[in-house]
Amino acid sequence: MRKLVLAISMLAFAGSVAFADPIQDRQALMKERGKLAGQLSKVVKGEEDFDAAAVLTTLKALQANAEKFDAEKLFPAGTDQGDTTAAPKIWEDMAGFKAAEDKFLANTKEAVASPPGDVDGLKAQLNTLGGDCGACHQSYRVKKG
Amino acid sequence: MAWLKKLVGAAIVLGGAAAAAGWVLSAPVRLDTGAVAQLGPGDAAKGKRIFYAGGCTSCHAKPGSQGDARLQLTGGLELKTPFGTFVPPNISQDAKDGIGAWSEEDFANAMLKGVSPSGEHFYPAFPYASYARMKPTDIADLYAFMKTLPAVAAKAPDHKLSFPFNIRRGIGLWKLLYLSPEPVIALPGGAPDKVLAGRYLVEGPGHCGECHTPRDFAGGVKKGEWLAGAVAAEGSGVVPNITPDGKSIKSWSEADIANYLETGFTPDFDSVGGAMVEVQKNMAQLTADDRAAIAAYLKAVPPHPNGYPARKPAS
Repeated sequence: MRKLVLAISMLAFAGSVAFADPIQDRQALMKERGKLAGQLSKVVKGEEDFDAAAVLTTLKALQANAEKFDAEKLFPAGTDQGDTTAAPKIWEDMAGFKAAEDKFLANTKEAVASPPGDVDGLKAQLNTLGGDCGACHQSYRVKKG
Repeated sequence: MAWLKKLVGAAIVLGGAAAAAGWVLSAPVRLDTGAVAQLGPGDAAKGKRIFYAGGCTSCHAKPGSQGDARLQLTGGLELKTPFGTFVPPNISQDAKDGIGAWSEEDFANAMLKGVSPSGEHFYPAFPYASYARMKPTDIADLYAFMKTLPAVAAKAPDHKLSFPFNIRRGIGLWKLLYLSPEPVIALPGGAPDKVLAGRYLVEGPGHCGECHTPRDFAGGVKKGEWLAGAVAAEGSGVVPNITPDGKSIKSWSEADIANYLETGFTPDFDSVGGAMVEVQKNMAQLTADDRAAIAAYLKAVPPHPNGYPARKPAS
């Protein structure tokens, strides 16, 4: 009997490891998103030359990142606790939260469908995408010390 | 028992004198004629810059509106604070519900003295403690610009405050302590023009210190911890330390700060969040020189440790 309990608890432990922490998952996704936006910003700021193919690759990566963002999976109930800056409003207004994310996804698709031909075009697109970041972080993220 | 009577009598006299003094000291004070004369005729084109520097829309735009609709200054947002709920009023050009009937002098008294046309104190949730540092000509320009904005009929609800904060007259005493046109940070002689320009924008119209500085028990900003960050007075979380000792801003260059104000991206490509989102949209409307000046000033202010408690360890 004792062995069985041990075995079950070990299995449960293994299970919890296999399902990685959603807080870490969503933070990794956001970090990647920031990095991609950063690559585009370097071009807008003139720190890197405009290379249409490279820009399109980055925009596609942003779209892929946005498609991976599954609000239900990444923000299950209870994950407002712990090392997170997710605002309680996410769970109070899941529909609004999803709508904000959908808008970002739609804007990445639009950017990929009509990739910018020059720096000014990219600047306008990055403004739109950056606006989406801010719009979501305005309501659904809390700054902590 | 005669001594007791005397004592009681003395206490009544003293108490009465204190009450009378309090009443006199708490009276709303308007601009004097000399200050009014400095206003002059405003220039609407110049006033647009002041409008965005002042961040009027952040509190007074119709809640939830986007784009040009944010110029409909109906007020109505609810700011829930420990003192109660403040509701920014309609400051559109509607003569009845807004400020369309105000004279330039009325407007200047509101901005620089926190006094309404009917002679009441405004609550300092309206950041006149910062606006008091503004140049009269900028006030006049702002007035002229706001005259070009739409009139929208819509009465914003009243503030819902608890005792004793619901007694407006008490604000007169608050003003004696906290209302001053003097700069917060005395910069050394020979400070670059850029830093001086930044000081004006940050301490005056930008009213950055209103959220980024901790407040004392009476709700006045602690000037000794200027811009050290604070527990958010409204909403949840904290407002970050933006002195040179702030955790994030410490590693940012002046160009990084200016770029953040323009694009909303931090140097490590996090984005602006919370109440700063609307502020950043306003900052993006300023000139590159203005943003550079703000950045230069933020690098020149005295460093302070965070004005808010450390984050709780993960549970």
